[in-house]
Amino acid sequence: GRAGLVALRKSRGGAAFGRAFYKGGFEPKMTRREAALILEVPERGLSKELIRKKHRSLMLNNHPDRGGSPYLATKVNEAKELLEKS
Amino acid sequence: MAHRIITQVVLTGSRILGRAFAESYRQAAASQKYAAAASKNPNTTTFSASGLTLDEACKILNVPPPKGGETNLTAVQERFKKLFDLNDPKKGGSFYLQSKILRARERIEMEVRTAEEVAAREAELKEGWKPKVFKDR
Repeated sequence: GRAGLVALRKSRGGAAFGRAFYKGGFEPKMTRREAALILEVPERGLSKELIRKKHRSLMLNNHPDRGGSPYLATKVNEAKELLEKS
Repeated sequence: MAHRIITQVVLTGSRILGRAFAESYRQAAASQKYAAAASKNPNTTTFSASGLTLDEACKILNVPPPKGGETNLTAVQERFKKLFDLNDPKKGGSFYLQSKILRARERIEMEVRTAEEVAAREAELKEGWKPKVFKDR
């Protein structure tokens, strides 16, 4: 029982039920796919407004002045810029 | 007639073989170059099972990199907990960023664990093997 649950959790990467966490680190160069994943927006057919709203809420959470990580903040900004550019 | 067909077959076969050898040589050279680059700076380029470099993990959690396996694990835990809760998808966070934070903590913990193992092995080599024997008398 317990051993099986632990094995299942290991194979799913941290969570036995529900969504498994994404594996690995950030990609060396930001791609459209990764940017969409970070901002949690659909890759296609997105509006400027939605990007702005998502970016704002993420930056509020991750702002370095409020104890967030600068690295994650730069990643969020990078994702927003990449999605707004195209 | 027959000798012409035979020479053609031999020529085609040798051409295919030659091409295969050239390709395999190129592959071997490329992999050798990659291995050399990886062994040059093992700290930054070794990808663990999690596929995350130690540098990046420390940057994500915003903690000083462990020196020789020594790091403040409680600080890492605290940073992890804070960032993980900040990026909770239920509170408008991003699941992707949350995953990265979790992987960063795992990476740092793995580093500490391997350093501990190495230290234990070296201590054993220095002092000799002292197994704990329990005797029933």
